Order: sequence, then structure tokens, then C-alpha cells
Amino acid sequence: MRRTSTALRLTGLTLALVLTSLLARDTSAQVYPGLQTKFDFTRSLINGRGTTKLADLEGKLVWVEFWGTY
Amino acid sequence: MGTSVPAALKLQDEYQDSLQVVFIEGSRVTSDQMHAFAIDKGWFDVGTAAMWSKEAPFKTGESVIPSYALLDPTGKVLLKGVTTRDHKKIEEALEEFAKARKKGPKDLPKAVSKQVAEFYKGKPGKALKALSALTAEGSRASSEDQAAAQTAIDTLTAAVERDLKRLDWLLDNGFYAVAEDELSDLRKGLKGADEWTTAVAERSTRLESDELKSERSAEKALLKLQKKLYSKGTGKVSAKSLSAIAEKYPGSQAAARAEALIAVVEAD
Repeated sequence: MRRTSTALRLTGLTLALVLTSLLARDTSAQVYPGLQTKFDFTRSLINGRGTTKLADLEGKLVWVEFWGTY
Repeated sequence: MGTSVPAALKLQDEYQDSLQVVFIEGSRVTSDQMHAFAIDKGWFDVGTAAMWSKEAPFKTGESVIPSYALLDPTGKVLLKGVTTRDHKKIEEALEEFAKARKKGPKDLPKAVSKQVAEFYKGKPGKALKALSALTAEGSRASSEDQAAAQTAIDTLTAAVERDLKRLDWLLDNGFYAVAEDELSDLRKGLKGADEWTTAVAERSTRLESDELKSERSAEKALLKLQKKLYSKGTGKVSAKSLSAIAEKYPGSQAAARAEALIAVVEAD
């Protein structure tokens, strides 16, 4: 009984690790030069004066700087 | 957020008309804490146009911070990478874009390109009028020039409409001082463009109306306190002084902004 339980736990752990690794390698939302972007913010931007989406900034170059790993 | 922020702020200031910097904060701080941090760093004191958010619009896939993506005016990704590594590359792209904007797009007929450049030099009314003349009946412009002029009219008209929409947001949300500056620029820039004169005049009338008198006084009081907050930091402006504005002008836009700033001051 104890062996079965340990085996189940190990299988679960392995599955979780595989899943985490697959998710970490998900590059679907990553941008690359040439990609057309579009995004709506759900909260007002600080100092945004009405900006709710990237399209509101059209007409200028937009430098999006990330202080976190995305 | 560290040393590369002032570098981005410097470029934001330098390229006001052609660049918008948006910082995305990824740590576990709240939006109010992030705002307080930026205030205490003095980043608002310089009157920056940069914006901050905690929502990532996309991923850069970089494991080093700060990472970035530079988008063209239509939202297409031009560059991406690590800011500190690519700073020169970003600066060059900005310089090139600003220069091209001053000269007008190379891929357009000369007559059209010249007017696009005039538009971005602060003369949108004059530029749109000249472009309309190119497409008018009886115009001697070639069909190619006429087609290019029409495309330019559509794009530039959308830009003016965006400015007016932004102005409406400022008026609706109590940012009257900024609205006044922007209205003044629009009034000068659209002088002679009859189709826009009414739209600008309507907004001027609204701003000067008796209806907004009390709201504008409230904003004036708030801006005085906000100036102190931005120059001295969150520790030097009390929640009590911000509350006093909210109490003196209940239900006003300035009261709502003062209350939002209380959360920022208290989040520090």
C-alpha cells in the first residue's frame, strides 16, 4: 500500500515537472520584430491620462520596458 | 526599477513628440506602491510623460531585466531585447524616426511627404488643407500623387481625431490644466482648417464654461499640492492635506484624484 502511494506521488511529481517545463517553454505570447501587437489594459496606466490600450498611443514609437521577466 | 529608468525618462523628454515610454513593473508591489516609488525617485518631478503599469501587454522572452520592445507607430515590433545592452540601438532608432518625421516619409511622392512633415511640425491644419487641394476636383496632381494624398489625409485625420478624443478624456476627468495647453496647441495648429474649427471651439467653450469653474478651482488646489508631492516626495505631503481638498470640493474630479493620491501616499 505504501509502495503504491509513493509510486503515485512520484508519478504526480514527474507530471507536474513536465507540465511546468512545457509551460515555461510556451513562447506563444512572446513578441519578435515584425509582429503586429494589440493590447487592452484593464486598469488605467499611471500618468496614462486616458490610455487604455496600446492603440491609444498610435502615432508615436512606443518603448515598452519590462521590470520583471516575462 | 533601477538605473535604466532615468535613461528612458531622458529620452522620453528629448523625443516627446515621437516617443511614448511605458514601464511595466513585474514585482509584487501594488500599483499604488509602484506609483509612490516613482514619485520618491523624483521621476514625476521632471513632468515626465512616461507611463507605468503592472499589466504586461506581451512577453519579451528575455530572462534579464530590464527587457524591452520598441513598437512602431502602428504597434508593430521594431526591436526587442535587453535595454542595457541595446540602449544605443534604441537611441539610433529614435533619432532616425524623429529625423524621418521631420523630413517626411521617403516612400511618398514629394508633394505629399512635404505635407506629412508639416503636419508633425505642428501645422496640421495647413498640411491637411494642402493635401485636400491635391485631391480636389481639377487638381493637376498625378493619380499616384492623389492616391497617396488621400491615404495621408485618412491617416492624419485619424491622428487629429485621436487628439480630440484625448482632449475629451482630459475634460471629462478633470485634467483641465493639461487640456488648456493641448487646446492651445490644437487651436494654433488647426488654424484655417474649417472642418476642425468648430470641434476645437466647442471644447474651448466647455473649458471656459461656468459649469467647470468650481472644478477648475479644485484642480488648481490639487495641482499645488501635487507639485509639492512630486518635488518633495510622499513623506512630505500628508494624507490629511489631500483629504482637505476632497472635503473642500466634494464630488469633484479633483477630489477623486486627491483620494487616489491618498492611497499612494499611504502605500509608501
